This record gives sequence, structure tokens and C-alpha cells, in this order.
Amino acid sequence: MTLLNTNAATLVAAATNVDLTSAGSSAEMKSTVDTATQVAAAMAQLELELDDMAQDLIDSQDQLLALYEMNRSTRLNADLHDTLQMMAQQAQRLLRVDCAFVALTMPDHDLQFVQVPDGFVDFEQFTCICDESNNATQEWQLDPETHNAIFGIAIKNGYMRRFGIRAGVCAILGALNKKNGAFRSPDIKLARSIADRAASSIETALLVQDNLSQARLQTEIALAQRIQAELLPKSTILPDQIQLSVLSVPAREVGGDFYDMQALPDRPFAFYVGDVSGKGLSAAMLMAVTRTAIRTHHRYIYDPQPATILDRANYDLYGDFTDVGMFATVFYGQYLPLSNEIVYANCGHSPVIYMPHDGEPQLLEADSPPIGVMDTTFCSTHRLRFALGDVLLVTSDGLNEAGAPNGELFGIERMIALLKQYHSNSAQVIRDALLAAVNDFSKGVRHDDQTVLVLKHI
Amino acid sequence: MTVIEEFHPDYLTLHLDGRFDAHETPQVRQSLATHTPKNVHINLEKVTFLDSAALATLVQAMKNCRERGGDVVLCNMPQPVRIIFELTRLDKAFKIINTVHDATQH
Repeated sequence: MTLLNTNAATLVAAATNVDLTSAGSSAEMKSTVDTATQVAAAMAQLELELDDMAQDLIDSQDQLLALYEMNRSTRLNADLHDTLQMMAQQAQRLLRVDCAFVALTMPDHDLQFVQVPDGFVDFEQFTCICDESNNATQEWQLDPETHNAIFGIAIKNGYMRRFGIRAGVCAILGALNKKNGAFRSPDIKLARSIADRAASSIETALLVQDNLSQARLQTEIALAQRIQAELLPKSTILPDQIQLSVLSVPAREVGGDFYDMQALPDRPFAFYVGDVSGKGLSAAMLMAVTRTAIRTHHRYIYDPQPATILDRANYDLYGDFTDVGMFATVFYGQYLPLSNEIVYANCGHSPVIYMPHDGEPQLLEADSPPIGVMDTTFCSTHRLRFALGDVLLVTSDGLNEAGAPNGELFGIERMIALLKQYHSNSAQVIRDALLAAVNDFSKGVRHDDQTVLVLKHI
Repeated sequence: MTVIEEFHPDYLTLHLDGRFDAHETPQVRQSLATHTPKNVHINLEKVTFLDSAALATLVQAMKNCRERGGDVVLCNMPQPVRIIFELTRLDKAFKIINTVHDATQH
């Protein structure tokens, strides 16, 4: 440009020199000089326009490259903060402003705010900008006179654009202090284009973030599931006279039902089934602590009477259960081989059905509310003859409350009828027959954890 | 399930209607958390079913009210619901009466 202007000036001077030496009259000479001056001026104007066009071309190319870069970065960059940072950087560069920012509000009112350069406006100043947006639906410009007083910094001008990402997620792209003038129509068009790119980039980053959270949660649930499975006893040395079959199926990945068996040298063989109110991870966590409390008391208490063990467990856990608003029903029994008896205590657990080999099934009802309901239990230790052929069935309420499609519940009566039908079979056959009948009744739909423990004297 | 709140000078009555299970407990918890009543009467006349999550909600309400020096009174319990309370022996933990009118005497 400088070179071209110099050439135009030389041309004017040369034309003037020629005219001075060769022209015949002053009028002709003046006319020639004027013409040369006009040509030179026209050429200079053309050169200026050419220069502007070249600059515009460079700018457009730069913008296209930047937008391409934004798209490419979106694919490569999955981190939400990095995405916002990159958007602000590109906006600052392309819009030629002192500062650009991207703010993102999440459904939980969490706010992410990224600006380039960092620290140009503080959070309070940013809030002032957003408060102004209440009167503008999608885009608005700052009034510098108003905002200079608020900000205490020299704000010449500012352009903001709000754009939605997804339900409950909204973002604002802001540009402060346009270099060389005000925000004109091409700038605003460009800002809109950047905002559109930013919307899709942020949506992609949010999706990646959601997927990561989901994957992390799934991993943690799978780990919890494995831990819970590990907590359930796999093999226990049973007394010779006892056949025991047990299965627990959670409604979700993990559940609140539990069972356990303990065979210690100086303790009676113990078995218990429990059901923590609710389902899922919260129930599973309390299931683990309840099981531990019972195990510990069974192992260490001086006189391990069933009622004493459950009362101590209630004492230990009452505060925790109260804090989380839950409780646990537990049936705890011991087999005494010398007297062929079962001694048991029952805190709110149902159903427990005893079927003697020579009599009718009986429902062993609880005599105390569940663990965690009151600061003390009312349960007593009960004794039960357990002779050859006798069967004890302990299940969680996920079986008797299993529903048919018409809303009818499986109920305890059907369980008793099945026990009468199958009691001469092995413990495992009885267990499987019951589970199959419930599954058939509910058409395979399981809303609650289901646990079955069958004890048989053989 | 629908929950209708009825305000009295000394107590709050909740009239529950339908299946009271884990999906429905939040609205009962919300109502109790909002009004933090000292005494609550819960009319179960039209409740068709309760699961353990619902029972846990009632237990929590009972504990909260007793901490405030009040109590939860369960009223008009239909037979299927009464059986659930008897089987779990929660009938030993709650005040249970036959009618809402009786509850005002407690």
C-alpha cells in the first residue's frame, strides 16, 4: 500500500514535469496537471479499496480457519472447562475485543464462567452484566456510561448473546471493548456464528461428561454388587442333621436383603435373614452394617441368646437408622443339635413359616418391631422343636408381596400351600419351587429384593 | 397416591389415598418437612398397599414428632394394611386408632 501510494505521487510529479517543459499554453498545462492529479487520486482510491478487500479476505479466511479450528477442537476436546476456555479465546481473537467470556448455568444453578484474559472482570461485575439481560431476551449491548461506574474499569462497549444448550442449561457469550470502534453488523453476525458453534461444542462436552458420570456410577455399582456378593456366605460347614438352601436376588444391582450363617467351634450354628427398608445402594450399605453388628455379637457376646443379640444390634444401630430414616427386619435363629431345637428371635421379620413333619405349617410371627424403630426391642428368645423332616422357611417380603399383573399379591397363603406340597423334598427343591412359583405368578417382574432360606432336618 | 393436607390448630392430618410405596414417599416426606408438625394424624382409610419404604417414612415421621414432644397417630387402618403392621410388629411402635375423630382425643 505504501509502495503504491509512492508510485501514484511519482506519476503526478512526472506528469507535471512533462507539462512544464513541453506545453505551449498555461491553460493546457493546467488542464494536463489536473488530469494527472485526478488519475493519481483515482489510482490511490483504488489501491485503498484493494487494500481493504485484501484485508477483508484475510479476515474472512482467518475467521473460517478459526471456526474450523473450533469444530476440530470440539471433537478432540471433551472437557467442559477446556471447551469454554477455547470458545472464549476464539471469540476474543475473532471479534477483536479486549475480553471475551463464556458463562454456563446448569440446572442445579451451578455456574461456570471462563474469560480471556482471566481476571478482566470479576464475578460481581459479571453478575451485573447478567442482571441487565433480564430485559433482553437473546442479545444485548452494554451501555458504557452505566457500566463504567459499576465496573470501575474502562468499558467502551460490550455485546452479549444468550443461547440455550438443553433443558435447564443456558449460556452467555460476551465480548467487551471492541478494538477500533463499535460492534457493527458484521461483528454481530460473527458473534452469532461463534455462539452457534459454542452451543454445539458445549452440548458435546456435556454429553461426554454425562457419559463419563454414568460410566463411573456403573463401575461403582458393579463394585458394590461384587462386595455385597462377597459378604454373603458361600460355603459354611453345616451341622450333620441340617440341610440348608438359600438364595437372595436383589431387585436392582444391589439390595437391602441379606442372609448369613455362622458355624463357630464354641457357638451354636446360627443363621439369619434380614431386610433393610428400601432398595438400592442406601439399603445395601445398611445391610452391610447390620450384618456386621449381628456377626460381631454372635461371635463375642458372653451368652449368645438370640434376643440378646438382636437387642444389642438394635442398640448399636438405632442412631444410624434414625439418621437415615430406615429400619431392618431380622429373623435370627440357632440350631441346637443336642436338643434338636431351634431357638430364635424375630424383630419384625415376615414371613417365617415352620412346618413340622407331623403337623400343619405355622407362621412364626415377630414379637418386636424391626431394628432401628425404637431404642429398645421387645423381642424374646423362642424355642422350637426341630426334628427329622421338619422344615423352616424364612423369606423376605419380596416374595409374598410379589404382584401379578392384575395387582393381586402372591401372599403368605400360597407360600404355605407350596410348603405343604414340597416339604418332603430337599431344601433346595423347596427353595427353587417357591422362587419359580413367585416368578410365574409375577410374570418375571421383580419390584423388591427376594431372599429365600430353607432349613430342613435330615 | 394422593395426599390431602388438613390443618388443625394442634395437629396436621394427612389423608392418603392409593398405593403408598417408594414412589409416593417423597410427597409425604415433603409435606412433613414443610410443615414440621408436632402432631400428625395419618388417615390410611383409602390406602391399598404399603411397602417397606412407606413404613420407613411413617417411622421417621413418628421419630421426628416424638422429638418435638408430639406423636404420629395412624387412623382408619384397613385390614390389609393392619396385617402389615401386625406382621412387622410396628403396631407396637405406633399409636393406632379406628377413626380420625378418635385421633383428636390423643
